[in-house]
Amino acid sequence: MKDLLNQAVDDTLFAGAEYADARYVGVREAEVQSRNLSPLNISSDYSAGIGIRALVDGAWGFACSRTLSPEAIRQVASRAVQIARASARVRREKIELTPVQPAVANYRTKVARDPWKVSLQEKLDLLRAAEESMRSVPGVTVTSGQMFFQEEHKILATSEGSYIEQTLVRSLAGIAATAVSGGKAQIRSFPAGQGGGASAGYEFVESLQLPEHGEQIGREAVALLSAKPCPTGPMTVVLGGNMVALQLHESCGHPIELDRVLGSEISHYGGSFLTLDKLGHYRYGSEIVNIVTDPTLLDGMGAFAYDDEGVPAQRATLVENGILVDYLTSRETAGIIGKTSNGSARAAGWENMPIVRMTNLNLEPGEGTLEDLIAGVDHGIYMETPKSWSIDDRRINFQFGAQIGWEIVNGKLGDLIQNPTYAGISPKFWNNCDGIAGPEAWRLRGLSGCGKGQPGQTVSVGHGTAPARFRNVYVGVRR
Amino acid sequence: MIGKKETLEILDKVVQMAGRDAVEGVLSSRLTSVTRFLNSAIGQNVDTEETFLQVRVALGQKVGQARTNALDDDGILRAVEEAKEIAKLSGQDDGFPGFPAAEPSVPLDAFVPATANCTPEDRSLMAAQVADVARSYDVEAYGVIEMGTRELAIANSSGVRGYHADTVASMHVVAVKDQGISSRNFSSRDVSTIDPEALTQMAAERCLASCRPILLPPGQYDVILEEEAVKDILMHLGALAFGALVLQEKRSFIAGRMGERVLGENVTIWDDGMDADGFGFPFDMEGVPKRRVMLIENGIAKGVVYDTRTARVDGVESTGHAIPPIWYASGPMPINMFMAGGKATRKSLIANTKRGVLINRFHYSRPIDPASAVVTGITREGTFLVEDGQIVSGLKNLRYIQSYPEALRNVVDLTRETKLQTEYHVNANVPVIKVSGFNITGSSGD
Repeated sequence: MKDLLNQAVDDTLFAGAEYADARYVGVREAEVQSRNLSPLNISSDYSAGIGIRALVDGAWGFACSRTLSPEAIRQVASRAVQIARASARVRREKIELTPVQPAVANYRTKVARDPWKVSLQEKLDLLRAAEESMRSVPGVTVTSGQMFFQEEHKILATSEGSYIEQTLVRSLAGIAATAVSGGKAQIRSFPAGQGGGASAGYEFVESLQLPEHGEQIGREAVALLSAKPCPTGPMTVVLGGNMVALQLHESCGHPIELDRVLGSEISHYGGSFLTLDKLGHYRYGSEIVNIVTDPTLLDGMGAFAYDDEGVPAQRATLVENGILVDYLTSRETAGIIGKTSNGSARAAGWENMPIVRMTNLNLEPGEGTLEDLIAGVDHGIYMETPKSWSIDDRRINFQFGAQIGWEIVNGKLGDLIQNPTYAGISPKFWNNCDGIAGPEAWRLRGLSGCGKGQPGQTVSVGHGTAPARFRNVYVGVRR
Repeated sequence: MIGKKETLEILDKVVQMAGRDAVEGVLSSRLTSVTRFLNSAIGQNVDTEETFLQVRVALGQKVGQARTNALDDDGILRAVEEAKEIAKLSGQDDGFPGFPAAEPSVPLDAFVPATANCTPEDRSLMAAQVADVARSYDVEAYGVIEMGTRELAIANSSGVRGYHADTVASMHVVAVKDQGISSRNFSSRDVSTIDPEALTQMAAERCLASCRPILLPPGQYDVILEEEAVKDILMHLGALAFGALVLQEKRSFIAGRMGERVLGENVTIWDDGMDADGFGFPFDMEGVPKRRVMLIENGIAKGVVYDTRTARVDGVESTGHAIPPIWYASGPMPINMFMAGGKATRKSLIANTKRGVLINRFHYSRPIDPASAVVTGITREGTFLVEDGQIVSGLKNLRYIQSYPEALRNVVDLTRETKLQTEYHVNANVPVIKVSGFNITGSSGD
């Protein structure tokens, strides 16, 4: 593969590129699903190819091939340069890449139990046990469980001399129970809305203890059918860690991507309210809000040793004591704010060009426990597990819904609440954050389906969060 | 492109390599060229490919599935053997209906060479036309040009053997100036039908009309929903209500109401993958020919779409609406929907509105109560206040919480003209509609 990648870089330079990189990516995936005790979509997936990026006259071109032959790669290199030349005809400023020290490296996710060496029977037995646990609760009508494993082997060769090989292993699993009655349905899932994941092997799935949680979420799904409706009006909200992860992802993670700030997504996913003029002084949140990007947390779903431009993984503070101090950046975008890349350029597979993405984006812990947060509330709601989410194209106006909620009365949890929702304006919401639980309650959570770009690219990201408290939040559906 | 001959040869090998076992091979290949522009200049320009061979092997009720993009003999054999191995180890899937038998399907003429042969230089020229028009209006243009060829072929051990190729060309232009923003899009099989200058001109004129957006207080309003917004409603109802699985699991708002009036009398919706005015394929992901299915006729619930799994449960035939097995948990879905138009024009809808809101498109719409199809979302790229029959101002984006079925019970009028919209593999050919009592709950703002 080394010869082919070096040839790809050489061919691209020979065709006229001033900078070139070639990425080989081979991905194997395995999925196991079970629904109503029947195995479903037991599948494997394999995809491999090479993508070539060419910079010509300050403009990008990208082409790719699943055919790994010298002749095919020669054609792809030529095509990438042809596309770049066409881009240069309709460009403004020349793209200038911020410097990076060329690296030769090899990294592999640490795995205790290789998911491909765990038998399918063991996986199905675990899901069946979890489903039976959920179905032991009368009133549960639909149950499901899933596991997903991915091994991504990628090699980056650049015309600046980097040659970086990485093998990233990710595991994800989750279960869900649905209760249906009288035309209404309620769902509860564990460990999150769409499963939980980590850069790890099968040991992560075992650590979730899915069967042990089945009965509880089954009971909650049934109980939600007759729970109180969500009240309406401003009140204090305490969010569980999974809900904080959603809030962080949607209202901070995406708008803080610098390519998005610059307009790359305006026609698709949208722009950003965190415009360049706000950098360094804009109060994004209250003083206790500190947000970092940190792919060096190696068990996070967004972990790696180098990003897909060969920039080393690094921790960077984006929001410090509530102030916007940095963006997620790539080599192309970082220079625009006078910085070097903080290693946030990622590509989904071989067939896509790297763009600015979240890695592990974390809300730093505060102090105390969830109970302490609740104890500080006279009247409010505690919400857990994302159910629905909607946010505008600049990531300001949002409405999120949780699977389950509890009233908080005089510092204690009270009655169950069905379909709890809350809405707000991102910076106002984060400025009303007056409590974040401490390190003991902080967890790194994994999401597998973060989408961005055209063509669409889906990557895994991590979010380190603890439960948090927000004052004066509008709760309930406005009618 | 792989081509019909080679594609079918690969699938024949799948069937041969499986020996006497029941097997299905699906080969899907999409080559897409994407040119994105920002600040009236090209920012990203790529050729991308999504190709996979998907093999399902059934050993009785045990089913295994493997996918690969390695299409040489070794790659094909590995996928077949892996699917077989998974099937052996899998548990009984009692709902598996077996692979469908061959049925004749009607070919669909949908391949336009001009689109397949569109070069990077051609796309660059289109982007330059956009930039020139944007400059003449003193707006910045953002957007995307996409050209794609798609091949889909299916064969199974029961004799199914089909191949289809088509092209897709689309353009989306967003015009931005100060706080003003608006967009226009166009999709077609034929690149020559795209007019970059006209699209940019329309987007720019609407952008300039929205430059000083005002806040609108929450409340119930008459709204004129343009085609992208109407597509959003159909896309949600397709997933939440018009598939057999959600009906069988009683998660659809029409569960138990078949034959009853569930939407307004002026609403008729059907699915037809064979209509030349859509982007359909002649068969579904199981190789079953697409059938036209009337979903709602004059407001009355008439039917839902089936794949072979859900069809067996109800003792009916599949309507050809299987989606890829990887999404089986979602069940069959209509993905080529049509909504009948009325007699109005966009202009007359606006002219006949005393006070209301003109909405270009919805953004990030999500169900908050799937069983009753209550959805929240926010408007985007052009929201306008209409008073006394005229557009009087741009509006800040509006959040809504709305029962989509209720919206389609309150349709006041529809345009005669319909327009094809496509997103996330779901296509809808729809009119502009006017809806009364639409529930606006808030506005966007810093």
